[in-house]
Amino acid sequence: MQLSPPLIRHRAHSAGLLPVVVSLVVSLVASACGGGASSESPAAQSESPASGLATKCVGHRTAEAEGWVEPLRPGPEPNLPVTVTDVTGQSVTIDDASRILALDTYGTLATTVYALGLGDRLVGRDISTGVPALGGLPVVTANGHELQAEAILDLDPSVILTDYSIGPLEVQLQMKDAGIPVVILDDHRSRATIGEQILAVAAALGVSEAGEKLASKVEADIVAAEAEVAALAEASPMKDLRMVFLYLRGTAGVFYWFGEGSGADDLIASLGGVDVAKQVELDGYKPINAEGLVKAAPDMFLLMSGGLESVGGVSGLAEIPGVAETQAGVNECVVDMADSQILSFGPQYPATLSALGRAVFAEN
Amino acid sequence: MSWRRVTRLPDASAPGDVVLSARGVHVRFGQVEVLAGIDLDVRAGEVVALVGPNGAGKSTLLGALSGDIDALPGTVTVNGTSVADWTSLELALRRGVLPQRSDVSFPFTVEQVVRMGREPWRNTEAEDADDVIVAWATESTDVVALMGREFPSLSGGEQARAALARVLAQQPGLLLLDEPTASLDIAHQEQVLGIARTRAEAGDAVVVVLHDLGLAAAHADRVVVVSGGVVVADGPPADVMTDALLSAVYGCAIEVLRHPRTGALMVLPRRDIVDLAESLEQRPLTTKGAP
Amino acid sequence: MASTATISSATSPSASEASAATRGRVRTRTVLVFGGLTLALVTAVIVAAGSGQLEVSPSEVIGSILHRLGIDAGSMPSHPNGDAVLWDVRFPRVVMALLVGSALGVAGALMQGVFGNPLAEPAVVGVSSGAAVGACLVIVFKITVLGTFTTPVAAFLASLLTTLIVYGLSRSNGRTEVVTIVLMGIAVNAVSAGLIGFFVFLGDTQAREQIVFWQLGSLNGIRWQAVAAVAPLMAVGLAGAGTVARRLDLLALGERPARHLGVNVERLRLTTIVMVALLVGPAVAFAGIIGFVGLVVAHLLRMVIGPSHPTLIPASALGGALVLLLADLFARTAVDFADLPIGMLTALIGGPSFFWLLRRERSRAGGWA
Repeated sequence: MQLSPPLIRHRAHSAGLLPVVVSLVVSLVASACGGGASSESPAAQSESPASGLATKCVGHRTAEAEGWVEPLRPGPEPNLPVTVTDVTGQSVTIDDASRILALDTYGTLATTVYALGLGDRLVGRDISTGVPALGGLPVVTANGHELQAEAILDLDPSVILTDYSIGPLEVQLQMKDAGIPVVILDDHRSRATIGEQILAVAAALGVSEAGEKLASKVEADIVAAEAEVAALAEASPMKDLRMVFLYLRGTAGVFYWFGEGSGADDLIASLGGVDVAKQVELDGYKPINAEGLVKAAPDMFLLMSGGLESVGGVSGLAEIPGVAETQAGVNECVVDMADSQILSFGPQYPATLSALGRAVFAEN
Repeated sequence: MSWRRVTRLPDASAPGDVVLSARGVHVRFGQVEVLAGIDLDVRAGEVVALVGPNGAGKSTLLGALSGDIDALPGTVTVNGTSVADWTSLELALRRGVLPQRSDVSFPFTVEQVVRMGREPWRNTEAEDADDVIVAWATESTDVVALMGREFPSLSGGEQARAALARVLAQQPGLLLLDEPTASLDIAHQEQVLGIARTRAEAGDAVVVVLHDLGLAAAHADRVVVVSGGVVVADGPPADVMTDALLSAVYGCAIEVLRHPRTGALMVLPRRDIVDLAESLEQRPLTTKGAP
Repeated sequence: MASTATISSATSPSASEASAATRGRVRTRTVLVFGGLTLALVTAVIVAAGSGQLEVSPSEVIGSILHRLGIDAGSMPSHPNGDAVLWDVRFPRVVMALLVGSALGVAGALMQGVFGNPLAEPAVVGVSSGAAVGACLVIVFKITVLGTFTTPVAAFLASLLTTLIVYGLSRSNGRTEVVTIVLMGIAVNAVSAGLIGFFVFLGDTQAREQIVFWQLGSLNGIRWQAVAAVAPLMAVGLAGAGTVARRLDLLALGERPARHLGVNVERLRLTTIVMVALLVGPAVAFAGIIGFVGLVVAHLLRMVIGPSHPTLIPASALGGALVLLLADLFARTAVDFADLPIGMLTALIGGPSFFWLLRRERSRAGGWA
């Protein structure tokens, strides 16, 4: 007697849920089956979207650039004072380029200053700047990518080039308050912005001529590197490699994949790969979703060496949910490159690209 | 201070003036009507004891009189003015309330707690007498030795006396005391009700909820018996406290005796009678005592 | 009304002597604590003004200050950026540490008073994270209707709302049980964390950096503009705290006894909550979530000078300012070129203290229901 009312309610409840459950199950089945091929093993899944003729990519390789970008010699003499309008629309006058700080998350700005032949004028660097010749400079972003105003001002810079990829913004404003010319540059990094970036840095330092020289040299190098990579791709038995760039910081529990507008999309395009993040319409930087990764079915992972290390190498990588269920994970097809190089769209991009191309299309 | 102009300071009441008046007080807790229309007047110079069995509504009545519980419908007036027309500060200058339990959230000393009773008088002339009044209040309640102790560290009885000292220091013309003797030993029970008497003699009106009928008989000018949410008797102890009435109200055979030497009323349960009906037959029920 | 004759005749010297003695002891201790705190604070300000990653000698600090006052005495900082660092970087930061510290200290004392519970604290209860939600909203959607005041005002409104919610839900019969308050804090912090996470998801890289940056609490990058934006709100909050202090004492007796002593309890509660929000909101908007300062400072001071709010509140302002100034001094000088998150430091010290207080409260209350 007493049992009947709750029983009735329970029935009504489950009846209401049923359609939802059914549709969930249906969608799960659909996504798990990918193109509808009946799959017995996870490895089989990704074969259907990829070309059936392609040779698999197997194994882990590390891309190493052959030397760093060569600075212009002799270094140019800055023609100062110069007034530039920065990305915030403010005009900044620079009358002394003897002590330069160039700070961003990617290390591109300092590398550009170095490539312009002004490396000896840098008084500090960010943690991402990988130019060996600048290794001895004090790192002003010891705390991740956070700036400390007093420490920076202690270096007595005469001009600071930076962008919003590093912060906090207030510290950049404080340096401005302190009377240092602070030029805020565009923080977008892509294949297309390399030349503009070089010109902007050069303009702010009063070496526009050298800037143009460097920009056209780098552009020519990029074209050459792209041709080299294309030739390697042509010769390789691996066709239409499905690639994805993973940003990992295992110690902090950060597992991201990079999509459109992250720079990784340009890299993959230059390598002639199929950008799976683009296919699944991934925008910017997003935490990895295991099922999404499996569905995207990459054949190859591009990684920062530090990121790979932070998860415990290739074997550790397989423990990230979703990785082991992809073709790339099964075959351990991983290409890594130094953190300071792989996504640095600056003067060293040609070297990065050709090194990556050689690693990607290396014989298995 | 602007509020000094607006705040109406109390005038002295003459003995016999009605200080507190309740009319048609009803209180409902959900579906249960706890007070079903209570009329009560309390005059300057008298101690009125509220007695009655558990759940009769004594404490609810005191709550309604003190404004802790809304009386709807019903009116409560203090010094002739409805409580709604006094500010809380003006009421504090006229009416002091001792709750059943006194908790203090932080380790305030007894002295600090007693001094809090002086707070309504701040920025008045009476403020000058704070030290004297605090000293008097603590001495009357026998808490002088506890002055420096932290209130939360005191025993229940000590806390009850310190809380009473605070209410005394407030010097209201109307004192509402909710079971002030509950956790006290016999000496302190006598002392506390002695204070109530002294206050009444000094011209204050005192309402005190009591469980101990003997104490009520000994110290109150009037006993108000509350039962089932109504006043069933209201009058001098000797008139109200009869065997029949108390037995009926408490549902237990009770006899009221006179002390052989002093003639004081003593209220005792009749442990020799088990059947209440039998006891009622023996002594027919008398109705409400005349006020 | 009450006859003074009866009263004075009943007075004996023993009572007034006893009370005078206790009061004397408390007063001496209070004077010592205030004197000590003021002295320590002044010393700490001097040390903080003279320390940083860019070295400026104390005499140069004094010289620079005198120079700004129009007195050409003492030596100016020898480092080319010395003067700029002092006035654009270090001094605003020192002033902000004082403001935020005193705001958090006072907010702790106020919340404990109004909750009637020594464990109430803006960060524990979730008011700080509520304020952070308001600030995040402004940052992510780039709202600037009130100029530099936008973020502090948004944080103030959000923390006001949170405080009201917490207060409304966690009290019963005018008191708040330890368990209720801790659980309420967990719930509110969880909801806030969820909302912040959602905003981080929505925000662009810059907003994300900004949010992540101050979730840990930091005074890095404080400029005079920020000081000017928080100072008026905090000044109102601090002044308001002074006006409710006496009535908070009475509230310790419970709501009804307080009302019987003439306190308009509803108004007192509302005023106090607004003051807490005025103090916590702007502090969180610029310094992030800095926990435990309010909890530990107010509690320790209460043990020394007693629970009376008219002394506890100003003492908590001094104590909070001192603690935060020292924590920030450490945060900005401990590691070369780095700035440690100050919220991490206060949590490292405050967390264990909180634990200790919890145990103490539990044993005092005879276990938790």
